[in-house]
This record gives sequence, C-alpha cells and structure tokens, in this order.
Amino acid sequence: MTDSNYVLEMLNIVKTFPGVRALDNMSLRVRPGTVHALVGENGAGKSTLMKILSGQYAIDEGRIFFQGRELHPQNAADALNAGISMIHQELSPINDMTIAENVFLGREPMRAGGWMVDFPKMYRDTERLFDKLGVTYNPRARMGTLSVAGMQLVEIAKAISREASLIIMDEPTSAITETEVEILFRQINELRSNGVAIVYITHKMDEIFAIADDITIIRDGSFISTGAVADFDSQKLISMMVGRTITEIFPKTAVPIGKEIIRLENLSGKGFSDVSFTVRAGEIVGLAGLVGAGRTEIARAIFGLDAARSGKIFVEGEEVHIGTVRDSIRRGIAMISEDRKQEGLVLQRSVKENTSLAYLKQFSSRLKIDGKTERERVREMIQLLQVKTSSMDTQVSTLSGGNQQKVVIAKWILGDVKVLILDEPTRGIDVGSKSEIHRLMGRLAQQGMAIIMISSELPEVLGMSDRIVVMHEGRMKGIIAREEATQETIMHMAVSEPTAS
Amino acid sequence: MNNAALAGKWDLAAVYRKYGTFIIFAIIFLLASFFTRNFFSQANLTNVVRQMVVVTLLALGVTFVIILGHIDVSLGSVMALAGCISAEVMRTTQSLWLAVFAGLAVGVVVGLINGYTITYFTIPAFIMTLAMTTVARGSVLLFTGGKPITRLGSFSVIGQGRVAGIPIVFVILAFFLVLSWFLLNHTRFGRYIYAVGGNRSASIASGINADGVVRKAFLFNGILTAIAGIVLMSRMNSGQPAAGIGYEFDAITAVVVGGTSLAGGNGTILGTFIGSMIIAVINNNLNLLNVNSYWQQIVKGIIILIAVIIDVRTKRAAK
Repeated sequence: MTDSNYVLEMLNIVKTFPGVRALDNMSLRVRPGTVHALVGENGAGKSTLMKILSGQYAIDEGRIFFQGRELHPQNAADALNAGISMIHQELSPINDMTIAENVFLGREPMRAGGWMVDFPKMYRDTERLFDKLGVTYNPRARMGTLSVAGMQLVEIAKAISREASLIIMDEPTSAITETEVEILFRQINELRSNGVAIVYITHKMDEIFAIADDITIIRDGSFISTGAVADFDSQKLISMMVGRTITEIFPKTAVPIGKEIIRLENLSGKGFSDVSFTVRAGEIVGLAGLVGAGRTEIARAIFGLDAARSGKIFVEGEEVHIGTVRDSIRRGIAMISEDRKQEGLVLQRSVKENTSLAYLKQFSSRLKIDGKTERERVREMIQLLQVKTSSMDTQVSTLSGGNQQKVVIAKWILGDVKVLILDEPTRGIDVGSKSEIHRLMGRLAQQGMAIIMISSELPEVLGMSDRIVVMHEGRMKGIIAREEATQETIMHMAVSEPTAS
Repeated sequence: MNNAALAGKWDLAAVYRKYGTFIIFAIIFLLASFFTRNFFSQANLTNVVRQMVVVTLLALGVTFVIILGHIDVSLGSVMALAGCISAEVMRTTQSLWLAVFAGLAVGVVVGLINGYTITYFTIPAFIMTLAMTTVARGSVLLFTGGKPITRLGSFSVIGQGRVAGIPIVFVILAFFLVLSWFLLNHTRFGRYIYAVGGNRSASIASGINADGVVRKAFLFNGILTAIAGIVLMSRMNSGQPAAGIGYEFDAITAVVVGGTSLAGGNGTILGTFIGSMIIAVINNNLNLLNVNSYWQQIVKGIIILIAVIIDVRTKRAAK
C-alpha cells in the first residue's frame, strides 16, 4: 500500500463539516528532503488538509501514512510525537517568556526528580540548537523583542529540536520583509539538505518557483494535479487553481448607471495604499484578491472602523472626512461586515432590536423610541428580505446563518443608504439565501445605490460585478470591466507581483 | 444522551430562564410564611419594603452597569460618602434642598470619574470601582473625622416621613423603578445598553458611541447610589461614616438573582425588583428567626453563588 519513496502519503481524504464538503478525495504525497508547495484558491481546503495532518481535525474517510506507518493523529501532541510540526500563519508566541522558554514550552527539561525546571540545561540546549542553525539570538532575550521573521525562525528551531521529519509552513512570508524571506529560505534549504520534508503553503508564484521541488494543486477540496515544479509555469498553475466550473446562475440585472456616488483618491491605510476608484449609482464594483490583499481594510477605512492614513474620499462630489462609523452613516455609507457574529449582530437580542439598531434615531423623538413605527419598519424589512423568523421578537441567535445575514442586511437598508459595502455577503450561508441576497443586490442597485462587494469566490465576483478592482498585497493591480473579466485574468492579477503601469 | 432527555433538560432551562425569578420568589415567600408567624403582619411587611428601598435603589443603578457587562463594587462606600456629605450640608445650612443637592453632586462626580476612567484608560470596571471603594470610604472617614454627624433638623423627613399617608421612601422607590424601566425599554439609551453589553464591536460598527453609553450608565448608577445614601442616612437621622458596608453585595446579588447575566446583554428592571424583594424577604426572615448575622452573610454568599451557577448552566443548556 505504501511507497517508500514518500515520507508522507495522504490518500483519498474526505472531510465534511455541517453542510460543507471541505475535502473530497484529496491526496498528497511528499518525498523526503523536498519542499512541496500546496497551492489553491482561498477556501480550496489547504488549511483543512494541514489541520488534519497536524491532528487538529479528524478525517471522515481516507488514510494517512507517515514514514511507512499508518498515522491516526487524534490531537496536536500525536502529530508532534510522530515528527510532524506545523508553523502557523498566525504565530502565537508567549512574548513575556524568554526565547528558550518558548522553544521548550510544554517539554521543559526537568531536574530534582521532576520538581524543578532545569533552566541551565534549557538555555544550553537552545544555544546549541541556535549555533547549529546559525541563528544569533540570545536564548535569554524576551520573545517579544524579536521581529515576526525572528519568531518564525524560533518556531523552525523548535520544530527541529523536536526532531520533526516534516514541517508544515502556512504562508510563512505573509508578514515578513524581503531580506527576512531570504533568511527563511536559507533555513529551508538547510533543512531540506538534512532530509527534512516541508509542506509549503503560499499564494506567491515567485516563491513557489524559487523554493519548491514539487507542487500539488487543490481545488474545491479535491486533488487536481501534482508534479515536479519544472512541469509547471504560473499560467498553467493559475488555470488549474481557478478552473472551477460556474454552475450558479447569477441574477445580474442590467441597471442604468447613473452619476458618481463615491470616489476614492489615493486612499492609504493599514494594509493598503494608494487606492483610487469610483462607484456610480446603480453600479456594483467587486473587490477581488487573495486573503490579505487589503480588501477588507479598504472597506473598513471607508466605513470609519479603521482610520485611513492619507488620501481622500468624496461622496456625491463632496469631500468627506470619516473618523468614526457615525460619520460614515451620516454620509449614507453602510457596511455589512464579513464577520456576522463579531461585528454584525448582537446575538442574544431580538430580530427587531438588531434590525433597528443603526437607524434608531429615525423613529425616536428626543425622549423615547416610537415603538409602533419601529415595529412597522422592521416588519417591512422582514417582508422585503423574506427573513424566516417566528416573530420579530425572536432571539436572533436562533435563526439560520442565511436568515441572520438577512437581518444584518435589513439593519442597513432600513436607512437612507447611498453606498453599500458588502464584505463576503454570502459566505457560509445556504444556496437559497445566497441567491436571494444576489437578487436583492440587483434591486438595490436598481434603486440607485452604489455597491462595493468584496468576495473571495471568483464566480460571485464575475457574476455580480459591473467592474472588478483587483488587489494584490495592499495595492490595486487594475480595474477590469465585466465583459473582459475571466477567472484567469483576475487570478493572474491577484497572484503576481505588481507591475509598473 | 438520548434526544428526549436533552429536550427535557432544555425545556426546564427555558422555563427557568423565563420564570425562574418568579418561582424562586414564590418559594421564598411560602417558606417565610411557614417559618415566621408574624411575617404577614402589616407592620412587618411595611418594614420589609422600607428596608428594601436602599438596596433596590442601588440595584436599579447597577443593573444598567451589569447589563453593559461591567460591575460596580463601590456602591456601599460611595453611598456613605454621598449620605454623609448630604448630612453635613444639612447640619450646617439646615436646608433640605441644599443637602439633597450636595449628596447628588457627590453621586454625579463619582459616576463621572468611574465612567471616564474606565473608558479612557480601558481598565476593568472591577478595578476602578475597587479603588473607588477605598477612596470613598477614606474620604468619608476623613471628612467626618470618623464621628457620626447629628443634629440634622428635618433631614429625617425623607427616610421616615409620609405624604398623603404613604411613606416618602415608597414614592422615591416607585419613581426610580418606573424611570429605570422607561430608560431601559423605551429610549435609545436603554437599547444601546443592551447592544453594547451584548456585543460591543457590533454596536460600534452600527454607529453607537459605546464609550459614551458606558459613561452615561455609570453616571446614572452614581446618582442612584447617592439617592440611596441620602435615604439611608435620613432614615437613621444621622450621617454615619461607617454605614453601607456590604450593601453592594446585596445589590449585585439582587440583580443576579433577578436574572441579569454578569456576562452582559440581558436583564430586566422587573427582574431586579423581584430579586431585591427576594433579598429583602430573606434578610427579614433571618432577622425574625434570630439567625446570627454572621450566618446571614454565609447564607447570602451561597445564594449569589447558586444564582450565578444556574445562570451559567441554563445558558449552556440553551446553546
């Protein structure tokens, strides 16, 4: 069954979450002493696969062989003991401990019969480890004094000290600088020559071709292709990543495009810079890009959730200064956040209270809320959006995901909105609610709203947008008209380095 | 873990969440009438209500704070500070209005300090009000030299007087009960209290000035604390710098027993009112039964513990 050419074989893996088939017949074979790039779109199932390997999820079907033996990791400790270490995209170091304490966290060398931590040995071992790796940090320094790249190197040292024979790196370069990438790559080369296998997850084409030996492509949870890096070029990779067939029909209605409603001029902020585009009445502009390309950050700056650093925002030709959400609401800007539970709803309150929350002022006098008008307006919204709820006094947490999302939308379209920003408006909701929300977007555009939609689903972006702004690492890569946009053109812009234009 | 058992458990939790406070009140009322012969005498019942006024006023104010997910443990000593300053102004000016005004001013200042410090420095309300506990107590002892303030003229009219045959304290209590209920249920302020307490980031993303809401709630709480202090000192017809110790505990217990979750986002004025009655009836009965006051503290400690455990359990069951 197993092939000794591989250190790791994951065969026909199936994993379902309630309502979603996250992995379907996925396979991955990694040779010892190689760097194996695992590539795929946002949500293709890369992280799920790696979480299975590192023992965080259990599989429904399939088999895993590691170093010739079948492996059933039940938890992270099992995987670690077997020799598999994972370096997460988001590191979670304990900043107030020393570097050595972080390296040996949970497996501190002991003395006095297991009653005391043997600190001298801990520091000695860490020093020896760092010498071997050519890392120059002082093991007694506080972890918090290191840069992100430094912390990553410490994580790698930790994996090596555990004598890992397979290390998973989940987008290790997403938060570090060019020179730090070089240091990282040197370490990876070192590891590779010592026979350690590395599964490397990244979106960056240039990195794949710089460091990887083999490539496996995953799409919609399924195995697509694998082979030596020399057999691929970026064009081929992209078309394999995005080649999903568009099965959904998007109810895009032709709407006359009106005058300009919102214009961004050289807007910069945390996670994005120099972004300029306009949205006109009746227009839906899609913001496409990979996770971390700065799309949500732009939206948050327009809506006043985060401050913009520089640049200008114009609403109907007039420059506006947005410092808080209250400012943007006053200007007729509304935003439906990607995180419904965190920033959309007050879960333990009723449908009514959630729906009326943002524009409560509209139906209250100085003294009190006009309860009758409130109920009338909320009832209108429930009917308009076909929210399935037993009554408007039902606690919103008891509703399905799709209906919860409709409540969030209801909250915003209750007001006098000119610019509506939707961040991943249909993520994690059922197909029925999804197409209802798409139809609603069409209707709102028809009424003359300017709509900005962020979506990681390319078919949704292509299906709903009049124009598509493609982002890459915080910068605009270009604006594509609906007629010219294909999955390939968008993906190509979203993954490659910015070109001077 | 069969489904029927699960459903049964859930139903029980749902019933408890809705009617729990009423059920507990009924049980305690029944127990009281069973164990204590003169519990139902008019004199005793009037006494119960008189005694519950102070704790209920505190509980009403702190209900707003607790729904926001914050806490105030300084109620007892702030109450003493406001009451004693009110008494001192009464003694020196012999003007009831000035005395009440001075007491309220203390409540306003303390409420503003609490609210602004908590929101500006984003420190836990527990720490702020813990500090305020000792600052306020120290201030009142310093201010009075540790000695009671007496010769207060007509000061006792608030705590002991009647208007049209009804004790004035009842009128005060009724007024603030209705005011609190109105604020919480019929104003934007009340709606924002629930929203910020339930999900602060969603509230901010809905354009609510969350810090402003917190400051207003602490201001309201401070004012009610001051009124409770004035009522307490007036009933004793003296300014007692050592009074009010442990009152915050009774008030918080009343709120929690009344179904308001310490986690924030939920709670009602009716619940707080019934919770206050439960605490008052328990206090009254333990007194009538001549239970040692040290034992009373132990009993009340266990009550708040049970109330919080039930809150946590029923919430988990509802999920």
